[in-house]
Amino acid sequence: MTRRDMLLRDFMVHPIIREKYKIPPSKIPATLEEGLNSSYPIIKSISYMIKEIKKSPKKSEKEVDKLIRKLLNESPL
Amino acid sequence: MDSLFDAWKNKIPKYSVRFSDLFSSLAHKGAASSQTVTSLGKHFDVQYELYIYAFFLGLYNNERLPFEQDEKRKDFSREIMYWGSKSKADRKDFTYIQDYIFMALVSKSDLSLVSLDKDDIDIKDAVKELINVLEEYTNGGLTIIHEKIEDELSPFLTSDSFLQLLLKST
Amino acid sequence: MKIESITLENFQCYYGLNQFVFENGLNIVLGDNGEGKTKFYEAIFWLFNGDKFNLESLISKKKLKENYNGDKFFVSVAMTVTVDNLEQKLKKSFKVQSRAQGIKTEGFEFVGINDNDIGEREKMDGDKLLDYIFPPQIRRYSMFKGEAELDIFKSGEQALSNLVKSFSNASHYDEFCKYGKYLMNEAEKAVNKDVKLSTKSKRQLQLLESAIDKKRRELSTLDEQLKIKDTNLIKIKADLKEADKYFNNAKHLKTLKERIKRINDSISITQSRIVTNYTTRIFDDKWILMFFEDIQKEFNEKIKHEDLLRRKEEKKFNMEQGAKELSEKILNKITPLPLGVPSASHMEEMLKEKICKVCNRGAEEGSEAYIYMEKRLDEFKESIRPKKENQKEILFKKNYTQKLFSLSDNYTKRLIEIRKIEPNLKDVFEFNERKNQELKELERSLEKEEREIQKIIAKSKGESELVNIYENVKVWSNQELDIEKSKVRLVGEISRLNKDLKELILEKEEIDSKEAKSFLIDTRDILRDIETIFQDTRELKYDEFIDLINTKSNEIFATINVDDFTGKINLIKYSDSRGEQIKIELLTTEGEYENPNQSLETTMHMSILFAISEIASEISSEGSGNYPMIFDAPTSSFGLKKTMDFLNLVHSTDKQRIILTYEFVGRDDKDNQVIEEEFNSVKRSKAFWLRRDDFIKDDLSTINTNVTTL
Repeated sequence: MTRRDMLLRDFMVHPIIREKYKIPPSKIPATLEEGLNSSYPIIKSISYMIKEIKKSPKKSEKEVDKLIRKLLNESPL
Repeated sequence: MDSLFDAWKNKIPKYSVRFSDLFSSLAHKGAASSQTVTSLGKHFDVQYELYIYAFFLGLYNNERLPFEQDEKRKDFSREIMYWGSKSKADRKDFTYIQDYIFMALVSKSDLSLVSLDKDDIDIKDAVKELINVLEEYTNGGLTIIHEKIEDELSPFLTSDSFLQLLLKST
Repeated sequence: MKIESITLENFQCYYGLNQFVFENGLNIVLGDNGEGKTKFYEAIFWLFNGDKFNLESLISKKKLKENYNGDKFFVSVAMTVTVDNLEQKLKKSFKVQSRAQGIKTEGFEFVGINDNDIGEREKMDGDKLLDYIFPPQIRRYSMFKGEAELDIFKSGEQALSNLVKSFSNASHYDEFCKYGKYLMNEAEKAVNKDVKLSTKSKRQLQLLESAIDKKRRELSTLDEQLKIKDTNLIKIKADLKEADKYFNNAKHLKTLKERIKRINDSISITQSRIVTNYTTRIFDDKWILMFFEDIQKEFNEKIKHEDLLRRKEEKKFNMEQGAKELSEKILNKITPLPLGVPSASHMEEMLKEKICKVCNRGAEEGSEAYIYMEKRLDEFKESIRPKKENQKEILFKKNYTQKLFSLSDNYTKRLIEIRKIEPNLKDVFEFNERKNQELKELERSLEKEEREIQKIIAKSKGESELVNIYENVKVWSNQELDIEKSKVRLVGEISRLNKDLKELILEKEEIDSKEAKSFLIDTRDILRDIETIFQDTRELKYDEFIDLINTKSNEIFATINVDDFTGKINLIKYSDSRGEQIKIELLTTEGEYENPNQSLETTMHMSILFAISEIASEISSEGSGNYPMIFDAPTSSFGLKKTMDFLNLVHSTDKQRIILTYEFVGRDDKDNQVIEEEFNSVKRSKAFWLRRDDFIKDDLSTINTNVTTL
């Protein structure tokens, strides 16, 4: 269990995930890998942010922003 | 003078000049100091008090010390008859002391009262004899005080020093 | 990490080599004020933080004097520690040469000697090794000088953010929050841009946007104001709290002063009653007659004797007188003729004619018969003359001694008076003795009260300050009220503004939803949620960390609380203009416990520090779990008994703690320093005693501290 996996888990316990997005427990990722492959845009976005933010050298914020946008646009909502 | 006592108390006894310092340091000069003047740490309010004290000190210690030949003497101009009169508001009259001194002198002197009344002895001589006894015992007492000052650093430090010295008499 | 030993070499008052060997658990360094305790602490501090400037002030004056114009010598502080069973050593040092021209320091270096795990010793940079064995973020919370430093959450100290950064991963979440916010703003911007492209609701949008902007700016201003008010409020509350302490002190002070006045009055009265006029009473109270009894007796004897003599002589005299008279009258045992026979005229005649006509013989002038006749005539003349009173011859012509006899008569009365003197004197002495005892007692209690006052004044800065505080408190209380009132208004305004803002935003978003591309809207919504998630998670992590400190602190507090205080420490997070702060509260079942006394506060702070130390050791990824802590005089306000209890409890936590204190050092009657008996019952692993040699006041080179291991 890496630190990044724990980070993701910390975020996943937030009520918004369950209540607003109605994501069932089975679909909540246990690792960052799973999160990056999630079909839910919000999970994927968060996972991606974790991956990028913890990377060094850090990508510029603008680049990440573009990527995220792309992510969100691509996935079916 | 019709009485030995009266003749005697008109006198002023003397002390040796070598004790002048004692008088000036231990007693106030002149009339008793007024109440408003702070006492300057002197034990005796008036000089003759020191004299009386020294007499009794010498008396109780059996120290009768005759004067040396040619030893100079002085007095403090206060006749015995005035000794003990109330000097300040917070003092009492102690003229009783005159009687006691007189009794002591009579008993210690070789004076024959019988001869005196027979007029075989001149009253003047009798008085002289008594005064002599007085002066000699006082001389002894002053010597004791003087020695104490010589021996000790601060001999009369406390207010009861003189009382204690008197109490130690043998 | 365990400190094995600390060695001071020629460092200030530590001449030569002075080694302190430490154990695990509680190590106590005892030393009266000024004996070298604080210098010891400063040595450690210098080892960790000292630079190469101002080195001269650190040199032992004694060593300087000794080595004047002599060899170079070293000044150093060294520490040996064990980390994971490997020994590490740190040494900070410099060389000194003392000459007539002055003192030269050189060769400053900070060296570390690292025992690595393959048994090799390597020399390395001291700072690097130090940070390895005793990381700075942990060090910062491991050494404290004095009681005041223990309060790490003093406002403005940024302790919370430091702690979080050092010991919690909550700080990671700060980054995400920042990111999340940034992304969300970008998404908003994208939406706005897109909406603006459509001209349909351009005007409406513009109005809304400017209204929203305006409201946001207003809100921001009000928020700032609120933050400032909160900061001021906290300061005023803190000031009032301090003042309250002083109030209590002031009240206490007043009471003590009254007590002192009463005691002083009693002292005056007692003093005035002590007899001092001994010498005058010698005369006035007849004490001068104390030994007069024997003389009185002598006198009485003499008088008796004289009286007897007198009467004897008188009798003898009278007898003699009588006899003489008689003998003259009886001549040759013949009874003489009575006087007047023959008559006077006959006698005169016979004398004139020089013849005795009785026996008819001649009596020439000068003859026996003639003289006899003459005498008889004289006698007759004498006998008929009226007699003068004192004509008769008497023995005691004078009565000089009358008084003496009357004096002798009052003998008994006088003896009684003389005998009263001794008991009288005894009474006076006893009375004085009693009064002197009373005086001593009074002065003892006076001393006690005055010490109390000194303590209070020392604690509350000073008497005159107390007066100022009285006045300030009124002002502050009013200010407090004002601020609270204006806060209420502000908060109301803010909430109104928020409401308005919400409405405006909703309006705008309705237009957005209608006009902007749907995926932009969706993106924005998701990012909003992500931002919320990040924010909330961060909050949660911060709160978790604070809870952790809270829980651990209370666990420790329960064990080292010497005040029997039944309550809990409560750490509260709040924001002010400078950032996030922590407030420490004490809670009892009745609510907040205001104004804990100094020792309770100290115990609180120590508990928190010990808790942080535990957390540090659990969380720290490098070095061995536990770290030592060093405290200089942390319990000054405790007093002897509480310090004892406290130390015993610290010892039971079993972690290496070095505590410097002046408690337990006292003085005996000869004013020599001694360790008080109570120290024997203090449980500890090791103890040291610092004592300065006797020194000459103006010669600093005579100052030297000796270290004794107890």
